[in-house]
Amino acid sequence: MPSKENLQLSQQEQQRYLRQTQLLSFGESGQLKLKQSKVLIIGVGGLGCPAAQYLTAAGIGEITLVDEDQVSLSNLQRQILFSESDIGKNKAQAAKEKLQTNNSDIKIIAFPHKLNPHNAHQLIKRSDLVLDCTDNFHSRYLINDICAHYNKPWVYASVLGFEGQVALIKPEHSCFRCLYPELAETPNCNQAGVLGVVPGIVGNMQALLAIDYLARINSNGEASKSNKLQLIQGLNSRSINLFKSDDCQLCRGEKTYLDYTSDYQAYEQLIENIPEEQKISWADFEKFPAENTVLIDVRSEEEHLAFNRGGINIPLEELGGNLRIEVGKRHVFYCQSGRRSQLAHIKTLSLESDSISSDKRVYSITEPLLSPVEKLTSP
Amino acid sequence: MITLLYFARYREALGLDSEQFSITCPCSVQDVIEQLKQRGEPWLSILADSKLMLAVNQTIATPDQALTDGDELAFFPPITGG
Repeated sequence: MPSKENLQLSQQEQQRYLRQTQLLSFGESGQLKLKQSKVLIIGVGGLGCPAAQYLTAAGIGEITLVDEDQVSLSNLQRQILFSESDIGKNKAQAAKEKLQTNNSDIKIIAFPHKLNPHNAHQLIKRSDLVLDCTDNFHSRYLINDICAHYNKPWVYASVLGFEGQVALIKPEHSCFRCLYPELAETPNCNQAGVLGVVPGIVGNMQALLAIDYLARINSNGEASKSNKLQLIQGLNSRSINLFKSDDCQLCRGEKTYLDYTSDYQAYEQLIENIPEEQKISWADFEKFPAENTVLIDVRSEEEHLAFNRGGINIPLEELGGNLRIEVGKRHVFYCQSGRRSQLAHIKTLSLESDSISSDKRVYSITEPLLSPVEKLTSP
Repeated sequence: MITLLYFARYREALGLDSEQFSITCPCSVQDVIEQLKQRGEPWLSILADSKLMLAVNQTIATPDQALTDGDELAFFPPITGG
């Protein structure tokens, strides 16, 4: 319910937003809708910074910024909201301070924590629209599942290299699991690089979609009956119509966020228990003497055949009785992103006696495995 | 003739963002994929990618979809950075 002061624009606000309220399809009514809106921005990085800057300037009533990370030097190439003096500061806090200097009429909340199933509920429930400015699929599925539960629209975006994808996802039309049903473990910008201006453009497209939705401008003509995915490639783009997938268990009502978040929570908790020295890179692995090391690819047989870095193949779900831990040998798990290798690690430890873990003979490679296609294109 | 579009890392691997491709109807997306695979690498790796997404005439599609002259078939992968 909008409060009394949200029912009209102050004189200062009329002046500040004049250039947009002049637009016939936007007008003062559009501005009031923005003023009454609460937007949640998850991730204040390459996408979150530009989206937050334009939404702040446009006069969204309340913006919540979620990010647990600190600003680093390698962020400044694309996260131009931040300055060198922000290095080491929390991103959500630093962004709030900067943004508030542009617009003191709006409320900005910094939430300097990692998104998890518990806080995601609290944050999403009270928002009108969610912007996914994260850099990983775990967070996107979490946002998707909880937004589906509360029937909240959200704006998905991702970038890599010279490319971007963006879509306003209204759960009644289709969901993110309809588009990408399985955890797509692909490189992120830290691993494969991105041209700074690309998240700038895509983050601004998120802001435009947000304003269009919240102010009900409908710049796409009649209210769309399907979600649309924009594929942006440099200066070209394609709009792809999305539909509910017959196989989507979330949209079919066979699963709820609870089924998915329990997996997520269990996973997060378990991998925290793996000692850091047992999470290794490919370079660490190369240093192990080959005759005393067993390398195990825990991806599917199909993935293993398509591309592998040697070793035996035991898919994660088949891991159990068929893996014999050989005394005196190191066992090293690998997969695509490092997720399944750590799950294999946990599974093996749970099947074996405590002596295995205390002996530090099980390792997981947490560095992503690049396929030939990805290798061809990574810098 | 149909138009093939390649996005993101597929475009980079091929050094190609689009091409015209001749088909004989009846023809499905899968048939086109099989013909492209015969070109060898890098098509083989790209088309074997388990994350490959397809769109026909700007609508998400599956490999069994039929194609007709003038259609546009796009290949794109999920991307994850932010």
